[in-house]
Amino acid sequence: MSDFALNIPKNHYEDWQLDAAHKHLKNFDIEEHNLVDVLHFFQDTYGYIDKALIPLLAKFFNLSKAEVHGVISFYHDFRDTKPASYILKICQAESCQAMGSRALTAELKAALKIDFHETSKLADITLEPVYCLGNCSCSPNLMINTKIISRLTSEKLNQILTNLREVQDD
Amino acid sequence: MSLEKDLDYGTPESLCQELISLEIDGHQVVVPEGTSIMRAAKQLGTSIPKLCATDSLEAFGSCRLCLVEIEGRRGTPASCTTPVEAGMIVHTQTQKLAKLRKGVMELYISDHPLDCLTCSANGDCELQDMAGTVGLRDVRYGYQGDNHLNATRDNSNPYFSFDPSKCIVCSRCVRACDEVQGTFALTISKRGFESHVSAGIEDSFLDSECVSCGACVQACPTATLMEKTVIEHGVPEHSIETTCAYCGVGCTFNAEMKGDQVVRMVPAKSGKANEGHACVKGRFAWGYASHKERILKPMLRSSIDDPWREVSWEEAIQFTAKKFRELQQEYGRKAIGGISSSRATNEEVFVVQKLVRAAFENNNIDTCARVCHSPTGFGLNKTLGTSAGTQDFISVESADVILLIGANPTDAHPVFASRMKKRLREGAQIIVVDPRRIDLVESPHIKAAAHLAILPGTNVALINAFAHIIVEEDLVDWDYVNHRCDKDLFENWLAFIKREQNSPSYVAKVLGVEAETLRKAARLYARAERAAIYYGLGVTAHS
Amino acid sequence: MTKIYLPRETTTLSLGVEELISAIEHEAAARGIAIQILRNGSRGAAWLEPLLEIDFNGKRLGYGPVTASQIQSLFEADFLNAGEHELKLGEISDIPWFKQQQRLTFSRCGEIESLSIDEYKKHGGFRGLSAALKSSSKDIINIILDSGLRGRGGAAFPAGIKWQTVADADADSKYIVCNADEGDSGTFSDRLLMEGDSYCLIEGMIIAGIAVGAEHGFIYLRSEYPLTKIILEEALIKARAAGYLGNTIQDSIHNFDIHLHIGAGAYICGEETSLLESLEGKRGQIRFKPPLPALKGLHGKPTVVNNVITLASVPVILAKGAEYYANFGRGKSLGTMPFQLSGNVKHGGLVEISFGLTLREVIENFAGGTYTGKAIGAVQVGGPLGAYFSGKQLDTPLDYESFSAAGGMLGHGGIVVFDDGVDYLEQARFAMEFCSVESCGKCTPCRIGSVRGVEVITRIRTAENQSERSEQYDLLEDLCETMEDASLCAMGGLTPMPVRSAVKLHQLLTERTDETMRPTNES
Repeated sequence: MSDFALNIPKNHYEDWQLDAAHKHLKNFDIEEHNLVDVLHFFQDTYGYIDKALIPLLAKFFNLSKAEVHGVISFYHDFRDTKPASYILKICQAESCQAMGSRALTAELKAALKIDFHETSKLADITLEPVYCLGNCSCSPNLMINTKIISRLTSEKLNQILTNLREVQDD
Repeated sequence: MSLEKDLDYGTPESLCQELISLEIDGHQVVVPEGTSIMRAAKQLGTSIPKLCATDSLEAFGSCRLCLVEIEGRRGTPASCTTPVEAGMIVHTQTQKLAKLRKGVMELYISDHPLDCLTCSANGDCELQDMAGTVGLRDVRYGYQGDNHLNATRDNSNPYFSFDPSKCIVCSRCVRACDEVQGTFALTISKRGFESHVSAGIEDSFLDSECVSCGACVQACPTATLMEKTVIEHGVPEHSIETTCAYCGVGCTFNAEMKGDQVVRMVPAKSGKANEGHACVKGRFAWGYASHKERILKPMLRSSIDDPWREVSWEEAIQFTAKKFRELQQEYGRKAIGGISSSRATNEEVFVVQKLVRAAFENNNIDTCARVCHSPTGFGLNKTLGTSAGTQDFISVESADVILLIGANPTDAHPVFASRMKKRLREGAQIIVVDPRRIDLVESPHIKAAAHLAILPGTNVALINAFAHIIVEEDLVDWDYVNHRCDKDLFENWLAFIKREQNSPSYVAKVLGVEAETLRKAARLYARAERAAIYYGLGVTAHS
Repeated sequence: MTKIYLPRETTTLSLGVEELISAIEHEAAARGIAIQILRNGSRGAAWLEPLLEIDFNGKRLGYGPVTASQIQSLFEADFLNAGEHELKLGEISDIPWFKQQQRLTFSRCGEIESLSIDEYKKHGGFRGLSAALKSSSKDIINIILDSGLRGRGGAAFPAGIKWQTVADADADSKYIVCNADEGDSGTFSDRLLMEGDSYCLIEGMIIAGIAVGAEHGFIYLRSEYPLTKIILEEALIKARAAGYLGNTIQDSIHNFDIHLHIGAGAYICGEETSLLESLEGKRGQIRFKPPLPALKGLHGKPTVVNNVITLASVPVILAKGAEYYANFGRGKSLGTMPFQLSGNVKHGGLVEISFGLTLREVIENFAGGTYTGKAIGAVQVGGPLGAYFSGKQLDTPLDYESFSAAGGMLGHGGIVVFDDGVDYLEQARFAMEFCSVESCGKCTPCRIGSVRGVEVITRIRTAENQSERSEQYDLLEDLCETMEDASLCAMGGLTPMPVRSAVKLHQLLTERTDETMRPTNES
């Protein structure tokens, strides 16, 4: 990994605050943005969709709370709890399978002692599955926050975990 | 009367004038364009298996039981979502379809409790019916697979229970809440196999936006949503048609009974006011029917100091008739009269006035609506020649702009409010004139084009200002005026309405509403192709 | 001052191109050499990435794949003046991988600085639009019809007919929706095009808008493509500033603007009706058809929903004519198709070629065998809903009809190679699992069937005897039939394709194994 500096910035999120969310919401134009767009913004801002946001969104979009909840829960991107500073998404789809992603996934879960959708107590990492990152010609792939690491191997994986743990310890 | 179940055509009626002829299982049928194959088949008496379809809801196409084969077309389209086409040749029963339907039912039952005999819907369950219809004999997947059998029951609602372990995720409850009731309290949460019905944000039904109208319970094809009275008493055996007396809407119900015990109240599709819908009051608040304090026999007493004495109907009627006659003999024919209640049905009111005119031989008949509705009754009589409203309930489906004044239908006349909301979701606009911020000003999928929050007691000023704007901006329907109005009287009125005191700028302060807001609203109303006014006690109860 | 091209593209980024650029800048500064680094897209030869190119006397010379540790030696070899180095690939156009392609849609991708409108125009960009602005709606649609262009997203529906339907529909507004929810594993052509030549997509969408009378276009991009999002946002701003988007585009009577929306992790939203629901901000649940989106699409209005590659193929067709495009390909599969080679391959990437080469030819000519060096065990063509073929079934020509006849589908052109270590039954199980993860949950065969499918295949694996196993095989076949014929959309309807094909390969293999294991009397 000599050519491969792992300088991936941590995810930084604002602390959830209802008044601030209310102000953010006012910046959106209902003609331009749909509910999914707005949910993306809030997840980027707070790391997750706080339940207290739902009534605000419902009022803003003239929907019921149930409908907003239905939309949030449909999409796998949206979380209901704050994630770790690093979100690791490891590809589970066929191209990566053909290059050993199943074994790598097992290694990753074992190393972090967690399953998918969980946050590790050993490192500041939330683990998620992903089905294709569109980088299949360099399988297997792993995404850390928004950075993709391709041609993943056991060695690379270990080094990544070591690096991320070091960053955490700093 | 035996238990009368309304026929379910699967999909709503098409109102199209064009007729289409097609062949289903060798029989010709002619139906309006836009009719689904499923409905056309039902018209022939052919029931295509179905679970997610019911004629009170728009077609959805999720259960995949109603598949059919159409000659010249690939695949097996769903009959609920496929509209008829001229000359179509449809087969609803083939070997292939039978296998597919059985395959789908096998999947359903692989995630469903096997407690039919002790289930509260036993004998009244569409899932059970369909398992029988398709001839399901075996579930080869076994019952050890992933399932929802341990999902927790929600008993929070006082009138019905929600048992998600029996849910087949057909979305009928969600769609009934959206399309029929217009509350949008339910959703499907998550997706795929994790899909499940959620009230609010995974709340209990009682804590959610649910208003307990029961549309979801009625729509549910299984025991997932079930009246607690049915759970307690079992499935009813006969039904009696009746009219709900809670409010002036007059919803028709089938009281489903077991002996003389009401088990549940099911709104009748034939009811012109409600067309199969109900509100919490009519559907669930009928505990009075068998309340121990309910008076079931006539009672008499000779003076206010005496205790009541139970008597036979014969004695009661004889006694009353005799007393009436004595009063008339002593004080004259006009000495007695009758007052009917607004709670009574039209038929009952008719009989009372007949009694007064034919038996009492006078015209001393009135109704309690006199107290509440005399101002509008007077006004309507003066202008239109009748003191009653000129619209029936169904006409709201044709309204383009609705002027709602002094009424809060969502609370007071919920079933009509649902019909109004449906029309608003279809694109009609509403102007709400009310000091209160009522539900129809803003609620899910409803946003009033204008809310004129006038100060209490200023309705007349507002109406006159509206008229002033319409006259000043020449938005008057002259064609109507010339054909229907008394020319001189209208000229008088014009002269009055044009006065400065009726101008929006003059009355703005009186109303507490800006002149420009009034102008916009008046224009919206006047320019509509089909504008309709709905008023309530908020205007009539003012002198 | 030498111009250096290094892609700003997802694959190259994943291989450390940003670190590479820092190293080059650092080294050049230390040596006092002036350089100019330009950002192109990738040409699709992922196995050569990071592919460093220099502009040398008007020729593009390549070095690759380059790593940061090799920068010093490259400078020492004077690569800026075409110096010899072990990484030197020579002139790009002479590299067989590129030479064997027929790049129509991807002609500019990797060649030009990706966000430069000037470069885009210099390389033939906006010529299709100019032609369209001079043509009637009818003429444009006829050209698309005559070109034989079919939807490249997977369904292969003739694009011209779809446009015609929308053009003929009577409505106050119409929409162009670009399906950029490229969810199939083993596909990345949409991404490569959007990152490397986004104006090409924009141009295609404008032309579609003019053809059908739409003033608004929407790109529905999957959230797994964060870099693509940034690049598209920049491209849209620049195109707007240059008068290609907005009101009276290029001083014509036409208005057209494009709005970018991002998906939220749902494969099903690649299905057009689910996409439209999602674009309206709703749950991405499938709508039944009819009505077709072409008549009742986004917000109930007539809508063209086309894949990125379909729309990006439009400019070259308008610029060079229907006949030019239709001369590529064969039968009813006209034009070119970007095939994407991935999985266990030595040389992965995108190759744009005419329809008609066999699967084997493409794998042999371009992929160069497996990455692990072992024999090919299986090839899945057409994404997660496409069929698996064994190493012996590779002689099917790559065109829509031939693949359909062979029990498969081309889909979006993904070719995923597995070596002989592949576990067919596990791939079949995964196909069901993928369906269960991504099912929208609306229809029963897909919602429950996929979960039961996983269970049945697991039982095939654990069955203790042959009769138990064959019972489960029968059940699986019945389930596949139910899913195929009774599902609401292609997700449940096509899942049986990979399942059946992989199970068949597994059965062949185990029968063979059983036979070799069977004791013979003679021994």
